[in-house]
Amino acid sequence: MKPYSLRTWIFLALCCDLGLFAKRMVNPFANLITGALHIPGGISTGFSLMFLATAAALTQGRFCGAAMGAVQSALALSLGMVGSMGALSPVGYIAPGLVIDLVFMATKDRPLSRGERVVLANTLASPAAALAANCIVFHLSGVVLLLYLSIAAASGAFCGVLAARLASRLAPVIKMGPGFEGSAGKGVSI
Amino acid sequence: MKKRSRIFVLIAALAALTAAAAAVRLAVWEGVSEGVLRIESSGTTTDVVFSELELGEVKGTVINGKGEEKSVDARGVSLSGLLDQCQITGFAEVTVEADDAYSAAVAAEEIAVPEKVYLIAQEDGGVKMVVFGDSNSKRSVSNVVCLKVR
Repeated sequence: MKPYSLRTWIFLALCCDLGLFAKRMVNPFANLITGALHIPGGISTGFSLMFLATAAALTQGRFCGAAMGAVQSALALSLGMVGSMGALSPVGYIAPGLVIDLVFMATKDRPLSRGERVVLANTLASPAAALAANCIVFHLSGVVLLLYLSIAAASGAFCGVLAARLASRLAPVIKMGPGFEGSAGKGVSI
Repeated sequence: MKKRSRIFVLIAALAALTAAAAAVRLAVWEGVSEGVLRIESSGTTTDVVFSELELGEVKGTVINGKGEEKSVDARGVSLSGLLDQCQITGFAEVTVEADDAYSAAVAAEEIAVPEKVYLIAQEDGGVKMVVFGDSNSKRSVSNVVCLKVR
């Protein structure tokens, strides 16, 4: 594991907490949409995961997303925020974190910008979380499952853009990892 | 292709896929009015108004996903009682489906156990299934709209 600075650890802890509690904040609004579409969820996870994607992009650490997912699941279990997944809730946190890591690893040498990689990671991690929830709790199939996964991917992509912008903003402040390219004073771009 | 364009294309494609799936979902979704249960059994469909059933007091304790006990005190009917009222017999399993497609199955043996599986009235007008004796509330289904009897 990379020797992170104290600032980096604090940033990672903050992203873990934000990811965990952001979902609760967005849920009431997300439920308005999912209720109208008669599906059990799938929107708020994309917003929650954007903090993991941001942290993974900025720290550039291997398995950073999975580790943060594990920390989130430990926090959720200790706070009793397990939801309908119960004792299997760690799967729902670690699986999307792992997908984020795999996307960053797979696209490392590809001609993609950091912003594009963040968007792609969040776009794939969100349906991964939805799929985990479906396997453990919902057991949806057919059109309902397709809608559930596609809305998760769409919200993941949209929140991925927000994550990319956030990463771009935070980059000059956090400054970590070798060959890090800050963008202070250059405005925000993805 | 510029990076902004690639992201825009990705979002547009996912939005189009979501819109198409939502259109199909809403087209095939057969909604029922609040408080109405649709019972599908042996190829026939019956709509039952929950408040018009013979309801009684349902009291008990369920255990939620956190392991906490939660008391239940509502008006309702046992699932076996509901099926009796609808004259449905000779089944192996009943799948209870919610408005949001969440579903849970209960076996005929469980339904036959007295004071185990109930449908109760929610405060907001919907109907909820509770299964007493489960170690978690995974089979508590809120906003029940359909019972599929097999």
